[in-house]
Amino acid sequence: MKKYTINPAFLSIAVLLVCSFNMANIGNAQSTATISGYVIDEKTGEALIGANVYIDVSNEGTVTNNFGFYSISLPKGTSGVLNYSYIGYVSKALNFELSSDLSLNVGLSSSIELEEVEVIAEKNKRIERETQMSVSEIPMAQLKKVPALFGEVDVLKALQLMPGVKSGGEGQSGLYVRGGGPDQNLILLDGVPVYNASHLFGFFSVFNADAIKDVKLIKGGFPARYGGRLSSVLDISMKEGNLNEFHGTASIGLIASKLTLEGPINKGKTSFIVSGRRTYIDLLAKPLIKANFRDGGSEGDLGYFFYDLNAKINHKFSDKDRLYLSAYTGRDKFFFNNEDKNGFGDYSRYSENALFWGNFTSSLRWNHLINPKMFVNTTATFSNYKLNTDLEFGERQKVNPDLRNRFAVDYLSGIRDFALKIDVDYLPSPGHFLRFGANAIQHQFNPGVFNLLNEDTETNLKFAESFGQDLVDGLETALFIEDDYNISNKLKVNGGLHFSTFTTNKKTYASLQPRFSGRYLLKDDWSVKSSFASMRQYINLLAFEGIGLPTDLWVPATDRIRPQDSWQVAVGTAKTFKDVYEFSTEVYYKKMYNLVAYKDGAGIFQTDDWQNRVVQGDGRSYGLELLLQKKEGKFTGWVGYTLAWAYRQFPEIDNGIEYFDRYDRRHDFSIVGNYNLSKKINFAATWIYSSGNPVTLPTVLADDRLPGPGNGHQNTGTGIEYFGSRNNYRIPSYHRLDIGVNFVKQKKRYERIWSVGAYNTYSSNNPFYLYINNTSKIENGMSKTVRQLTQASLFPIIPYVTWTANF
Amino acid sequence: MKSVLYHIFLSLCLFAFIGCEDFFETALELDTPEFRQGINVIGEAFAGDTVITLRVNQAKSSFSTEPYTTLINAVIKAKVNGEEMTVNYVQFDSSDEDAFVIELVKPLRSGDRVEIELSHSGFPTAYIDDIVPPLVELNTGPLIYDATKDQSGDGLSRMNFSINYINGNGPLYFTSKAVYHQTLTQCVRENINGQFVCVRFDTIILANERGLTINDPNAVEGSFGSMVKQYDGGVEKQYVGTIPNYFVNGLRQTTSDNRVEMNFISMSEQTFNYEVSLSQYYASKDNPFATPVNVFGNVKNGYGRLTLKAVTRAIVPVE
Repeated sequence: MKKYTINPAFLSIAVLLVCSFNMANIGNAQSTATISGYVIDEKTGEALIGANVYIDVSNEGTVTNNFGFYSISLPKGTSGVLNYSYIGYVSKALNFELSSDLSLNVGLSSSIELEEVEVIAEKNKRIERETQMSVSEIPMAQLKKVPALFGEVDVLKALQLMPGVKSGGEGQSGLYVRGGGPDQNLILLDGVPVYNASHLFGFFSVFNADAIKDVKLIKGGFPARYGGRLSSVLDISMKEGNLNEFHGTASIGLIASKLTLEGPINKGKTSFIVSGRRTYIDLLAKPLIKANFRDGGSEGDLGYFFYDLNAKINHKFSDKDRLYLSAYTGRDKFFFNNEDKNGFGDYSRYSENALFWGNFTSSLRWNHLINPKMFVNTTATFSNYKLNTDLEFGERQKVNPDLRNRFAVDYLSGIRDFALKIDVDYLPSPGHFLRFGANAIQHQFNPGVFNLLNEDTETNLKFAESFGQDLVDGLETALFIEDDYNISNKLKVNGGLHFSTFTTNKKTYASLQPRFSGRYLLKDDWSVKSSFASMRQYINLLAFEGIGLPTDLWVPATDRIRPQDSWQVAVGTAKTFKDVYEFSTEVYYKKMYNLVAYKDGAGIFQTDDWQNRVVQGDGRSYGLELLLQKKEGKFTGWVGYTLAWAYRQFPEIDNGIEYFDRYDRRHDFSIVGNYNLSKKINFAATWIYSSGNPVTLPTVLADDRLPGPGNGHQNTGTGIEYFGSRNNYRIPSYHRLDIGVNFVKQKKRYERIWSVGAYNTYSSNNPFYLYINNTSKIENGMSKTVRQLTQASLFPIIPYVTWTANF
Repeated sequence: MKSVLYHIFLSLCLFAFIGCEDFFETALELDTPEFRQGINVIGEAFAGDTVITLRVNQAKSSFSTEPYTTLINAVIKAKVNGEEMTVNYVQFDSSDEDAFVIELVKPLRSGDRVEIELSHSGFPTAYIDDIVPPLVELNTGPLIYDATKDQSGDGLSRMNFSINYINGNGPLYFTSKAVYHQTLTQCVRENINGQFVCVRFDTIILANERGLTINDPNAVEGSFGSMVKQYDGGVEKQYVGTIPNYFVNGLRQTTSDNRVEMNFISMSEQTFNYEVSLSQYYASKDNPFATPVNVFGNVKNGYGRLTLKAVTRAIVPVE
């Protein structure tokens, strides 16, 4: 007789589901009715994410989901005032008397246009009332005013100014959250994972601020709906496009220009948004570079550019059904071509080299309202990250360039995902906000393939071969359920389970990850919070430390490489002062298992199995974060401080002794301020200070010449350098002041903004990396070799100016 | 006004992109990292040797530019298979080089245990303890010219060989290289009336050696060829070794004797670890973004290495 077993994970989720429904239905035992609808921007029709909806009498309430939807169930006959509020918008209050289900779509006006109106704080969404902790949110309007390198507003770099988030180095856009690695961040653009979020070797992120509506970074206490990464979730929502009027934004900056167009296709029903950005250093420098090549007796071209394009269409079939189609594509290209026309005889020598990489993501989302209490979002997504290196050199006939002898190498790597997911929001009563769903992601990893071609078109000799590693498929699936449960007026919890599996090469891993977060109100404006989250990650990024290179390689867990795991606990407190100042503090402890790192001396562009090049080990981190933030008013900004420790331990590194992580920085301090002097002028300034992170420096120089005549003299500067332990030295601390001013003027047909400012205003020589330099020094008239620790800095003061037109 | 704005914009652009190299680098007056003092020993010995020569000096701070100084007062005790050997300090006549020489009672053999204790005031006593690796039984085929191609499409010469690891105590570590001596006749030119004229021919002998790339999946590629760890003792194992055609070209062009000497070098485990880490060390050196590599040393409480090797030679024809 066949034996059937029940998977304990499925059983746990089923039990939780049943319990939740039972608890939720307690409210339904009475006769209730539901108020539901969307909260939108009155002018553009854009859904407002996380808007606050609450009843003044009972203080019960909810917040809108990622599509602006809300739902509140109350006993029939309840009457009162329903308040709608959202940061940067004028609040609205509506009287209601509930005799049956009620649909209320509410539009809010931006407070920017109504300067004198008092803005009521979002009482129910205030920081002390939310169960979710460890979240960083910067309103887009504020983010756009933060001074930036070359004036390029950057979402990821702005987030680096928040506590618990560190950058990879000077100017880098990579995120290192609470001691985690750069691959441990789930970066979602409209729900689609973005695998390489960097342009220009990490100096800019791929996210064009003009196309983004909302940014939210979760550093811990992860709700059960998220999974697949250990350290953070960065949820970025694109704008939907203005449903009512055509508008656009054009800007010209030092390195890039941007154009965004949006408007209705069918007024009130269908809208679109298209936003593009391209750098133009390659175009401006082209004549200079060509002239330089000509001076050297050859012809050639050298350049770099990146571009990205965001597009989205959404259509509202009815209040119950809405469809969104969004896409992003971006590409970086570095190229170097050279032809020596002199060559030899009838032939010229040439080389053509290019390195290009980029992401393509797309998502199709269908929102369906089953009933006023149940909102379903079904999403199909595609994501593709590709790196391509083309190198070709040879000789070709001057008269007929098609006749040539060439050797070409083409290297390809990347990752491609197809995913399908369904999320259900169920709001049975004001006390419960249930979310459950499932998803499946089909990954295809390309860990590196070389294509070789050796061809002589005159003799018709051709040799072509491909070698490298096979494509690897992996299927990742997940089920989740969570409930935001209001146990009492003071106590609210969010509990959930996330169950995931991963199958590759006949090996299957499974994991059940409990999640919990809760808050207890000590006073009306002051709460204590705690959270616990267990996470699992099935994919790894093989990366060199310090810089985000496009050559970093995504690889799956295999039968030899175990998936990464972590757990994190955090406790903290949150308080709002005078309705506008938010203060929060958290302490956290995170433990990570099965982290992946390159072995000593291993690298990319190798054809052997990548699994031979890596080692696995553990990590842990802990710290304290403080944040004082003001999101509204003439003056906005925040002060953040992080005190943190991060460690790694690999059996094959340093004899298994625990060492400081590359991004272990004891202190990070940031002040961000933005002051609106008038409707026409606003000032912004940022000052940051970080203590130095560790690097590995040699401590000992030892002779390695074999004994005996002829094996060298007693030379001074040579020998083998011994490094002692890993990360044994701290680089100097980093500090920088950025300032910016925006001059706004309303012209006849458009609004013009001049943004001027400077990055690193007082030209602080900040460390990029350290190295030991052999230099000559004259002492007592004698030349002497000196070995000196030298710091390489990257950016002095970088002024910027940007012209923007909103029309 | 527009013209002024245009010029300001242009100036800002230039200012942003033109940097002064000196500005970006800063020499720092920083405390240099602390380091562990220790005796540094360098030596290499092969099965069959009658002496072991050691360079003994002091490891120094990585920021020091002082010359290495031999620790001539070092007290060195050496034993082979437990029997104490004589150690002498010598200065070589032909140069200002010096060394310590361990006089062996009989030539080193595979399996001999070599123990050395080095002490000097101001340093912790250092120890070396290693075993001379085994010789292998070797069967080789000819070196076949231009038999295959490498990843870049360049021609390779190939040789099949098999190794039987007789002793079978633990893994065998080995590498290999091809060696031949090339006699070249070189024209010596002199400037006579503005023309470079060949006035005489000199004969020079070049020693050519090159490591083989071996088809073992666990082989570690070093700068001098593949280093292999073979686990199976007492089992004959087949390998294919390749070497670039250009190495063989010289032999084919300049000698009538188309034969090359193949050296199969077995290493102690400690020597293998040293050679592998040394290759990795040079591969990552001076790359600020690469993980640095510590070179393996087998001098306990000190620095450096005594590498122990055994060489099996075979003359193979080139076809």
